[in-house]
Amino acid sequence: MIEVNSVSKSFGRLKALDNVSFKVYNGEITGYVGLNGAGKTTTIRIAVGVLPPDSGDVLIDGLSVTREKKKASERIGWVPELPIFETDFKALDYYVYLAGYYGIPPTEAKRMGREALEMLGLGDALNMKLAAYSQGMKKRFALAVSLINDPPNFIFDEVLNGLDPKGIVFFRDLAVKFKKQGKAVLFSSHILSEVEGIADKVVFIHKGKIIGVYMMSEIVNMAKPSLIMKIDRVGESLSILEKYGRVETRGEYVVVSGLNASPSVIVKELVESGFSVQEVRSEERSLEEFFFNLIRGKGE
Amino acid sequence: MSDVNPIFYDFKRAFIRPATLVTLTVFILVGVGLSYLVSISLSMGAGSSYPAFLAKLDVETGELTMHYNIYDSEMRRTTANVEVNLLVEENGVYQTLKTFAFRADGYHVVETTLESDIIRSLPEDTGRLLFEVRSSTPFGFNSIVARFIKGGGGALYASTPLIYFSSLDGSKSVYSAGYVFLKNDELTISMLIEPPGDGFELYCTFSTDTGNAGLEKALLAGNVSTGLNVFKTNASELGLNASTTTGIMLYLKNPEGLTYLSSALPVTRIQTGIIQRRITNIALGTAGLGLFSQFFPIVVLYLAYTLVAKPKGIGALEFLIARPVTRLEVYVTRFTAGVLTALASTGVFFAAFNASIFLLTGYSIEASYTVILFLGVAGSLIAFYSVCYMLSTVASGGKYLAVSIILYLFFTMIMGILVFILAYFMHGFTPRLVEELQKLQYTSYYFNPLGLTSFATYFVNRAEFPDIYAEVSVVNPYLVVAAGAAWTLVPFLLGWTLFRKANLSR
Repeated sequence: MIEVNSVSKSFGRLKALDNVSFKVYNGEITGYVGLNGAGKTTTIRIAVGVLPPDSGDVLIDGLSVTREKKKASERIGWVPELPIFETDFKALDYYVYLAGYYGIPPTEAKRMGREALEMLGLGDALNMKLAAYSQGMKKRFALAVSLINDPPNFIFDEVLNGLDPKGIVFFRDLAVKFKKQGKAVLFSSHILSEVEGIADKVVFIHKGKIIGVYMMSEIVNMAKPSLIMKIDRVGESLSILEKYGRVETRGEYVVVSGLNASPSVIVKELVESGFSVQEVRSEERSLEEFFFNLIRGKGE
Repeated sequence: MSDVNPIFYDFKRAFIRPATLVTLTVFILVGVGLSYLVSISLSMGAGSSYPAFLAKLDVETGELTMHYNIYDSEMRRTTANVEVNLLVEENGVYQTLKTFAFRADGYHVVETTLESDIIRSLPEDTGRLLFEVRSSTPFGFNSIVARFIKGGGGALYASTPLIYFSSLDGSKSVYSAGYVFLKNDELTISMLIEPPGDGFELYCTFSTDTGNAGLEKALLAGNVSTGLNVFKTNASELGLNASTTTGIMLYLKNPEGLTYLSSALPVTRIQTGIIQRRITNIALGTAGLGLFSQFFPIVVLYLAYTLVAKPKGIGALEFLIARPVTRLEVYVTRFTAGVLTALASTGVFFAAFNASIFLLTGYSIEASYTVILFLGVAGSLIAFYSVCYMLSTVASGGKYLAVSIILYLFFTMIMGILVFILAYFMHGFTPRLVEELQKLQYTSYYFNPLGLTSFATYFVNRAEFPDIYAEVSVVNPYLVVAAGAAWTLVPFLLGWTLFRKANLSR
């Protein structure tokens, strides 16, 4: 489990994170969504122990990344958005070098490295310098390294950026696989739809603050198309309309959101019940609109 | 530290990287070249080796036996490429009858047979027949010549330096060659001989202007056998007084009482440590150690760039620190890698330099001096690495390189110029300027991470050449150690305080 507890961080006068808290439970994929510069990567760098927070802490399976960094790091894997390695290394050599920090002797590390890199499609590039790797290859290499000790927690930071469709499918499937294995997975993105279909829960961050935590099902519901109708005797129609979704009135209009039936079925029943339906239109609400509405709701 | 592998891996990639290896190779080559310079310099010295030979030629059969031995100027066995010419003199012109060559390592014996046409061309007058022995040693070239003289049994003998024994009644003679050395209080008789029979013993005594002590007072040196005989005895036991003794008399005596007496042999006094002093002197010069200590800091500067400044600049340390490792461990590991590289490089340089000198001359810089110089040079490199390492925690990439190169130039060149200017303003061109400048220079070395090399050189020079190098009052061994430790530890600790909170992101 990953617990982010009241983490704050400033860079000079810029407050990058302001009292950020959320949890990622085992066997769960948590989407971490925010605009570019919202503070996602800063949160993640603190969570993996590469950046010290000004205040607050991150617990990895109960281990503090600030006070028990080594033990905490053993329990978390990290694939950054733009993995950067020491460029003069060859891939397998760097794998062996980093495996040394896990206490794995060189011969064993070399064998493991070959297997891991081959499994991730880098078998032909074992002895290629990391500087020559593409972004996709670097992400796979970072994944291979992060899997050295098969940690129970994993963080993917904007991992789908710059990947081809095959790469995108690979990492999404991998996140789901990890979830099934009972790992806690934090999956960050600046596009909400990227986490749709895999995330159980989404944490929204904006300007360094958490602006909402929603279950994915809630978000999908709220983001479903709405039916906007102009009906005579609005008050009387509510008893019928409430069977088909959440109902709210906007002046002379009534809005049904979270539809569980097609608009034609709803209109047919209203007409058969003697109501006069004067105007019907459908309002599409995408996931991104939901996200932007959320931001607007926080004063933007 | 969870595992020592990363330290060795960092050390390996710091040490076995092209920049380090190429530079080190260059300096090793310089070291080897320098050892040749040492060898050439040694070979220029007079009396740099002591060759001796005893040749016996049977004019009937043409069988030629030659015993050869060579010592260096400190009476140690040395190597020589030897060319031997059998010459015949015709009206002042020398004609070569036979030439042969061999390589000797100390004592060597050659047995050969002259071809029949050479035997036929041998002159009746054996005084016209000469034996020339040319020895090429690490300490120079040496040529000695001896005329053949008729000896017992119809054989001809040629030897140099000649030790001529004659029986007490003057009827028999034995030809021999060799030296009598006096090294500290030890008298060594080194003699090439073919004794005229079995069971001969050698006795020795000293001779003065007023006569010799006689066989009765002579000391038994030992049994004599064919070839090289080396006898050692205590000079005081022999009653030898260096100020009054003119030479050493030798007696050959067999069990039957047949006794041979030599002429008085000069005693060659051996001074020890001369070669080592020369080697040390040359090694300390600007072409040797000076070159290494002046330019290897550039490699050290580059190491800090490779290990920290560059990866930090591009953001590559983040991924590393996300492993089960603390920042302190990464900081210490990479510092240690640089320190090990500095130690290994200095060690390899000294080893190569000493080994090549040893292979060429059989000598090397004295061990204690080697240790002092090694500590000085390695300490300087480590201290400078520590400064660069601290710098690499605050300046990345190009900025680091620019600042560190300026620092290098400051400590290796500009500081010395500033010290000179300061001395001039303080004392002007007065007789005191040189002395005060020297004091100021040594004082400035305390404020220079590379100053340890200068101090180490000073200590070795003082120990080896106390008459030439005057004591400098400002040099205090304790302060030198304290300065070296401070230049290493303070930047290291300061660097850590900066690194522990540094944002490692690009």
